[in-house]
Amino acid sequence: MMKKTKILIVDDEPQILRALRAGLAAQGYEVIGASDGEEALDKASAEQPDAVILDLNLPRKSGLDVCRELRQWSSVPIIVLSVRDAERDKVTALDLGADDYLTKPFGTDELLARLRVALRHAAAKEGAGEPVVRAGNVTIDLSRRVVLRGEEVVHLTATEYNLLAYLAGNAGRVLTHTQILEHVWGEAYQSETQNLRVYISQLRRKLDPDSLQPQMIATEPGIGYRFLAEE
Amino acid sequence: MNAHNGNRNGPTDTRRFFLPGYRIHPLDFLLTLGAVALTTAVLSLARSQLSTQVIALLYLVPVMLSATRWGLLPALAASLVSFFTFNFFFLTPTYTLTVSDPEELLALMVFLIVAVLLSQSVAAANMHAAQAEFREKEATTLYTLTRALEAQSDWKETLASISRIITEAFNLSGCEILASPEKEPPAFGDLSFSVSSGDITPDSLPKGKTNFSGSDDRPPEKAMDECTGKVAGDGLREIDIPLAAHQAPVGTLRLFLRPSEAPPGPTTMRLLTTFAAQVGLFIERARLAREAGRAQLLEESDRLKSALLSSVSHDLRTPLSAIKASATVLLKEDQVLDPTARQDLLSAINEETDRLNRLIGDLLDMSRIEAGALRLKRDWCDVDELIRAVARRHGVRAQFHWVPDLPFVLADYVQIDRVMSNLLENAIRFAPSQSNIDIEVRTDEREMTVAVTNPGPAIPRRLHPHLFDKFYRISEERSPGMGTGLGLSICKGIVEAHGGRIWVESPVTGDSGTRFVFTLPMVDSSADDGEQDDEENENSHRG
Repeated sequence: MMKKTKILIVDDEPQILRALRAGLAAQGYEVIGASDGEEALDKASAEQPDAVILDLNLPRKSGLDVCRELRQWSSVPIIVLSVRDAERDKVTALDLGADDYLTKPFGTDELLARLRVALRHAAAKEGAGEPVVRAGNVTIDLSRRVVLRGEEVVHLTATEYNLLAYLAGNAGRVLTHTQILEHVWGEAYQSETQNLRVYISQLRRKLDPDSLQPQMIATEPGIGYRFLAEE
Repeated sequence: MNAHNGNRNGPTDTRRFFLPGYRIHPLDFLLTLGAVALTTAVLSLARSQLSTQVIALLYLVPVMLSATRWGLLPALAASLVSFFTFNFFFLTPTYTLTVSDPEELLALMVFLIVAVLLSQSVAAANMHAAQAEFREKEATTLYTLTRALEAQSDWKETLASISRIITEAFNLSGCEILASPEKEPPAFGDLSFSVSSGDITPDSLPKGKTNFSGSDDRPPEKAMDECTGKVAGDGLREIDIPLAAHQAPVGTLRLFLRPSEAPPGPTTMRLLTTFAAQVGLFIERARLAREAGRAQLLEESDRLKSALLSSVSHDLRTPLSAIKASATVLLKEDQVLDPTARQDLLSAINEETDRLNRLIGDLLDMSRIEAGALRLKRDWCDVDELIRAVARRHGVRAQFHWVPDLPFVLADYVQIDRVMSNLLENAIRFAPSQSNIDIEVRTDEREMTVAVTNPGPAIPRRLHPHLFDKFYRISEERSPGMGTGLGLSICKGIVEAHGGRIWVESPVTGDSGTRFVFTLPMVDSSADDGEQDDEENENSHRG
């Protein structure tokens, strides 16, 4: 029998823990629960889960601290849960190395979808990764550095290509402004969000010129961008 | 003539308006002439025994008297008149204005010179003394004013006492300080008012006189020129001096002169302007201080509100999250849920719905209490029955400690039931399972004291002050039975609305146990409130 994917759920609300446990177990995941920050770190090191679902508002040790400490020795995918309205916490968590976030209350389908993306991305990091990303009629061949819309080659500047490649290489994941700026432009450009907006809008114009609704590069308000590829 | 020049009040001023100035009064001259005449008469009688030199010396007496009493001009007049009478009555040939003896002519000339010099120096000395006195008085008045302005009392009181100081210092019939309405009144209300002192009451003013805002639109410099005396309707002479702070008008200083008084001269006006500047700055300072106070309050309440809002949103969304998560799991069709998990999810939805409902109820109660909209329906309550009913409803193993036949108290049954329920729920939450909760009731003439004690762990003393705060929870751990964090603050609101007190005692025995105690007044200490409430209830029934 195939080894079940192990998920660690950290939430101090017993009812939420109960619901998620039932929901994930029904999808064939093996679920471990933890109700505070310390317990989360203990279980993460003892059980070696394949993914962590982490509430930010935890007793004893905050979710942000758990995220920070976890990242020091593990690259396990982390999906952050929060009821806070403050975008800052989510951005901090993502910058600390969390893979995605969900705002409570959320539906189980959404969580499962995010979980799948995170798990797949983690698997891709270990292997060669997916060399070709498709979204709509756009094909991005990361190994050949070629972008096609239909049969036609889309001409991109070096920066535009680097930006698109970074987004597409992390398809399905949210990337914060800081992460994108650091990766594409370098550490010195962390705060130039305005610049980033300009490049994103240029990319959108070149990739889906007819669409009023951006379909490929979704804006996560106050946080960053997410590339939506076909699954 | 130095002294005369130094007196800047000019001949039109009168002494009574603060600075003892130079009076030209016919009476003074008559008295001067009288003094000279009297001297002449006395000297005539004693003519045979007196030498010319002695007569000349004695004629200096009325001159000196005039200089001391009535000032320079009467003294000079005395000198001149004495010069002629001395010549006319006592120098040969007598009864003529000619002098035959050269020695006597010399005496006469020396007399005139001495008399004039004497007049001048005595008058000058007097003037200096008067000016010194005036400066001292000015300084004293300014000092009094400054002291009054710096007094840390209510600023209206301060302005009222300043108005009194001005009335006294300037010997006025009355004085009024009018703080004009602010151009852009802050939301918390305009700071305009008037204080008055002296014989003047606002009612005695002619109609329309108190409406000063229009005239305050003048720039202060221009208004300064216009602030000469004008006659009010009833014959009172009044002077308006604009009060300004940093070029912006803040009000008016209105002086009412006694009918007999002349308008103030430049010196007095200068002093009054200094006063006005001080008062203007004071009004501005008071306004700014008040605004700053309000701003601070608003900021504080804003901060509290946003903290409360984030707490409320967290508390509301948490049960919603559990409900949503459970419901979406149940809705998913492509999965196999075992019957236990299904049951679990359904009961989670059920429990969280209750919790949400409880929280919303508590929030509504809390906001009612905070808005002062809690209407007590006071009636005579049987506390014995009330406590037993609450305990039964909660299925509590409680020990009751009170004497039979407890007196009834005047209270709102439903609200006190609420307080008891919250305290009991709290006690159950913190008591070890299977342990007893003690409920004690004691009464004296003044109040009934109800205590609910649980044998659970003690609450550290440093936390006691926060226990009745909104959304305060001792434990960060969450459990399905946990409270909303509002229970105790609701209890406090209800008990205090009844005129009682609520507090916590912990530890109770050794280092464990927690006791919540509240009191209800036995005597109807708030009879007025009760009546008012009844009226309000009637009104609400009618409405």
